Amino acid sequence: MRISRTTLYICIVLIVQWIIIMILPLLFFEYLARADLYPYNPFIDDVIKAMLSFTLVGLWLIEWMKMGEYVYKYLSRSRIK
Amino acid sequence: MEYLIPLPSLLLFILAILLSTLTTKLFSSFFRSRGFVGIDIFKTHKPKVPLLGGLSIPLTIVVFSFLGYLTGLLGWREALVVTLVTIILTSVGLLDDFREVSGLYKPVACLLGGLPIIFLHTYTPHLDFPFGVGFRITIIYLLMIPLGISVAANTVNMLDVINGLVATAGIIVLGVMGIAIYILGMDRNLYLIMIGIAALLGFLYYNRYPAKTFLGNAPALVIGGYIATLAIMYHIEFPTVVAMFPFIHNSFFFLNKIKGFVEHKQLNLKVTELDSQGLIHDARDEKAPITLLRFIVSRDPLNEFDAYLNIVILFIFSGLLALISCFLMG
Repeated sequence: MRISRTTLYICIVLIVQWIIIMILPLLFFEYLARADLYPYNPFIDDVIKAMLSFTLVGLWLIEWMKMGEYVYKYLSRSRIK
Repeated sequence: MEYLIPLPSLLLFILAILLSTLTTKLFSSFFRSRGFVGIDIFKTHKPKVPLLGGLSIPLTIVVFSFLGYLTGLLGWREALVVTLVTIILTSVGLLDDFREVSGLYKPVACLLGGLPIIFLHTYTPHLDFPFGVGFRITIIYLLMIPLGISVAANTVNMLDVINGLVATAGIIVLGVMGIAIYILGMDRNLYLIMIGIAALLGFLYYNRYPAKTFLGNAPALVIGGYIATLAIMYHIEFPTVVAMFPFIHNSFFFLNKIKGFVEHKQLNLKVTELDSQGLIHDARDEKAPITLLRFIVSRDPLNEFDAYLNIVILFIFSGLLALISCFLMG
């Protein structure tokens, strides 16, 4: 069995994504989603929280793709011929 | 907690492995005799392998959900939800297996898989994250259920590229979910998780490298949908998402490059290629998506079994991250 160095690099990418997906809710929902920004209405409350979470998940995925592409290009350049 | 794995569950677990193994063999023989075969592209001699041997997985899940209900291990609601989700996703996948359908068909049709969970109300509209963060989204959670089922089903289906990978990954994810339930101190019966693992173990016996049968779209969708259904029912969404990181990595890299839902066979782009020694190389096509397999072989080429083991290591690693998340949530 051969553990590829690429696997170790992907593990690092996964750790970074894991840390981000834990910190994002902590930063935003602890403060923003609990803030009394509008007269309370369960539907508006849900919509705002959903918009926030979908935006954050979208940004998180874009960042994941960019980081992954960067690592892929780095590994491709150093490939074994 | 003492009833986490009751003795009847263990007995049914063993019977489920036997049923899955036996029916995988039967389905494989049936589809081979009908000429419903595919070419194993990562072997130098390009063997023909029967497709849809994985139909044993939905069959085992449905049979043992019913048996779970009869033996009192499952409530009628849980058994019915799992059965309906499995039947819906199998039907969606079978149409794709037997007919030429558009790339958008599967993501849209799989949304139907979320309806039984909504109508039978087997969910908690509350998302929990580590460090005690959680928020209630009563209405939007309903919309997120079909989306979650569809994303999970399709993301699993997209990684079905090398022998034994999806079944092994499914076993790891379900195993992590079982341990997560234990860590989070939920007093839940692990019967459905055990049945899922049993169904995959039986199939893996024939799908392991070198494969004697292929999974097929329908069973791959069922595996993803089943994992998502249990994550919603058991309220362990966050650890499940983390355990599924390699699936997400693969599918979103695909979508990012292709910018839409397109069937693999309609792409006409070479992602990887096989040399005469059986080593998988990155095809270096700028337009092709950077799938997980392409990523793994981007620096040094690997044979199929080594590529399988390297991706399995990623799943084990993600599983460990998921379990650490549980400790941080607890």
